[in-house]
Amino acid sequence: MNKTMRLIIAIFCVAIITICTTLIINKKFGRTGMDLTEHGIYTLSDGTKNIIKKITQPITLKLYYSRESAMKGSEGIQYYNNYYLYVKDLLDEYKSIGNGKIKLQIIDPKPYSDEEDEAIQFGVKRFQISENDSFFFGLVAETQLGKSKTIEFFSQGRQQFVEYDISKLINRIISRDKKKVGVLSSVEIMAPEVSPYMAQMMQMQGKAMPKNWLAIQQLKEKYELKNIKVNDYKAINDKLDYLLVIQPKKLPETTLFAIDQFVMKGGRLIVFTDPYCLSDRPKPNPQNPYAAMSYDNSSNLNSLLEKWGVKMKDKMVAVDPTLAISPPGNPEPVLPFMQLTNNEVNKKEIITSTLQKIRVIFAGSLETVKQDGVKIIPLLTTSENGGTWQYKNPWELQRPDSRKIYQEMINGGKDTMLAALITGDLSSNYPNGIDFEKTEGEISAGKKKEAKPKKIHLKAIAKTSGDAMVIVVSDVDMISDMFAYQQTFFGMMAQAGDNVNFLFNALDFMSGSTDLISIRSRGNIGREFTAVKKIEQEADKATASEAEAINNKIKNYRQKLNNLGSYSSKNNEQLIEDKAMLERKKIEEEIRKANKAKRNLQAGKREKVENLKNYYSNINQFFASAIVLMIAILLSIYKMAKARKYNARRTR
Amino acid sequence: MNGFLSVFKRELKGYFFTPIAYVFLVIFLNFAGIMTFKDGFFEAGQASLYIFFINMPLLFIFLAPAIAMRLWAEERKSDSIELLFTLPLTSVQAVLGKFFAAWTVVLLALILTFPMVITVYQLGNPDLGPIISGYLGSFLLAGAFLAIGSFFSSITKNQVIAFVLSIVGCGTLLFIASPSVMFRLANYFPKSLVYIAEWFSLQSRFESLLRGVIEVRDIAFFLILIAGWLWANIMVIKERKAA
Repeated sequence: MNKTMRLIIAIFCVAIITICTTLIINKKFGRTGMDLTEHGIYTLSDGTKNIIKKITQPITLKLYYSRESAMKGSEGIQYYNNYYLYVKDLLDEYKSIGNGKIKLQIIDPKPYSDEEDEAIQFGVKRFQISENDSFFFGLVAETQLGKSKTIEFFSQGRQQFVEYDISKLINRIISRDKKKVGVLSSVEIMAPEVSPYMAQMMQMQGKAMPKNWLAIQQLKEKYELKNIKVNDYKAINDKLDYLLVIQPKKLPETTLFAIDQFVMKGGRLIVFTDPYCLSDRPKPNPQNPYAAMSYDNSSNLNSLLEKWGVKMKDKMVAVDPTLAISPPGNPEPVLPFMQLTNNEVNKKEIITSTLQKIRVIFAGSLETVKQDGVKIIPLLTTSENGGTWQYKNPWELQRPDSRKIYQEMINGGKDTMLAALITGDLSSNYPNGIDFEKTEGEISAGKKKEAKPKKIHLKAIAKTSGDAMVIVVSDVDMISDMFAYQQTFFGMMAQAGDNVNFLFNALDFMSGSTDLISIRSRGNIGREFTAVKKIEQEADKATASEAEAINNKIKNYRQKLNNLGSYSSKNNEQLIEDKAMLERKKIEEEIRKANKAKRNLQAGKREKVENLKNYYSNINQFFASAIVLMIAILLSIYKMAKARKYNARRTR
Repeated sequence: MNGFLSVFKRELKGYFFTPIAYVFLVIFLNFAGIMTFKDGFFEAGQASLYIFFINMPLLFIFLAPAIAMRLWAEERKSDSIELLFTLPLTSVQAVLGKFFAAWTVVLLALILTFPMVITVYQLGNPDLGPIISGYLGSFLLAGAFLAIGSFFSSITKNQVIAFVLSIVGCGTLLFIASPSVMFRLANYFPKSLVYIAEWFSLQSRFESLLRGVIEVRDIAFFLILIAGWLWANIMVIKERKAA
């Protein structure tokens, strides 16, 4: 054997040894290492560990990933290869913590195979990427008894919530099937149970059968719903997992107390209130046809919520000129009809992170009230151009005049909160309990005795023991059939936008134990450029009075323009046409100038940020390299001088 | 040890008494800055050096072979390798001395990117963990590229050939896990072997470090890779020495 051959064989052996050592270390150490991130976001949280501890019977996790198809896919699928390895590692860690109670199967479902059929049966999402290849990337958790739950697809946007999603899946499979939701509503959102006989009778009398709201109908598929009457305080008890309060109007104190105590005991509460609820209509009263005019369809739960850090402002609706949409049959956008998009939903929260389009109608404005130990997280807001509009009379809302609202709107200069999540330590509104009188009729010897009022004292829990959780939304109509659904081509009702998804996500999120919530609160910590924000804020502050003056100027000019329009319409246009035209042109010119001044202010702010960018860009490109160049030049001068000296000595 | 130190010092001096190190440093620092800002570091508005680090493989894939190509090819071309072998030092000392000298230049280059760290701290409140692991990842990645470059430099007299071969070697290990490469590999090799190839992707190992998690297997992977290529390098040098 010649030397080159020997060398090649030796190098080949080195390569084999290198590969084997790498594989052995991979297998032996798995994900052992140090998580240097500030909040340890890449280490399985205690919440996950607690959930895994609760597993009593072995579960199998089946990870479906089409590795072979992914290889044939586009470059974009490379993302999923890395994502898959990340999920797989994470599941390996679940398995190692599970002490044999978690089995892990990695399945690559080949086209037309049993595995592919099984994946589809479990509800794992299939994407056709070519004629013969489909792509799967989902997870199924299965118990020995055949109960299964599925994450249908690990989507790109949810990578930061993967641990939460997997732990939630495990939590769901090991806990009770249908959670119980109490629904307390002042509007008829849930149809009362009607016996078949009653139904037949109603049909014969030509009466319409009461129906559930579609959102409620959809909720029924997933949860066990219990309709709670507004005065039935006893029904609000530990048997419920969540309480959904809709349009709470003048609730009796006993009911308020029961809701308060439900939250204190760790119950999860979702409240939908509304300053003007279109779905809340009075029953037709032929004796008093004008009753509808004075009907109050506003609601709030400030009597409880204020102590928990949130208050809905009285007689105020949220408005936003940039989000306004036109209601059906109206060509003009109406300011309190808003369509929230990506920017107005809180992308950092699990409830809202995936929502794209939400319609709200006459939503209220929520205000935070500072309370110790309470954390308020905005879920839905208006844009920065939003604000509030105080109405004097509910009649103004029946025919909202956008122009008038625009002129009267109070621009908060920041977004207006429409829905919020309250967490933390909450205190009871009734720390000493309540006393009330109850009148009960007693029946003795078949005769009904006279009713005697009875004094009752109900004891209270003064504080929540764990992390409480309350969601407040300032619009009821957003989940009504009218705005959350639309008729499809085939006459079926389908969800319009993400309105109902908001409700589902909120309930889904709340179904998580505190362990799950602790997982949520770890990840996704944005680290914005605070310096840039500061510069922008300072620039805004410095030019605030100037900007306000310009805005007022524009407002005045617009007012003048409007007046001019109404004046000309009332009078003979022919006579005043020339004068009005001249005036109009002049005002329009002034508005143009004012808008230009406004743009200049904005440009000034942008310039400051741009300068900062250039400064840092230059420093990073040239500073260190300039030092290196300088050292190089100095060294070469030194060397040249030394060489000259040496040469001079030699010639001497 | 003395042999190692003398080679290390001689090599390091070689870098700084010629324009090589300065040209390398200036180009590296300039491009690191330009690419970071061009890729929207400022527009992203996030106090993190992810965009800065993610360009490192692209920078090092050209610059590391550029430094490494002269390590042995130059010695062989100028026949100074014969002189080196007459000195009382082993092939291991010679290879390690040269490799660590080149790695030190890279370390210096990475240290000189300190304005980037200052920038991100002045603009916001970054997480220090991913910055530390990012620098560690970049240093190890450059080490792996230098080891590959050093090996290819030892098998040829021509620096250009050494440079091109090194880029191909580094590129293969960098892009091995990309779907197009894997798909092509799957046509010729059994799938289980292709999946194993995925474990050897420098890109995914490097990105794993960028998250801010230092895992034993990632660090071990880079160190084993460096050791493997240097071992092969030592074998080649030993063979030449014997010849």
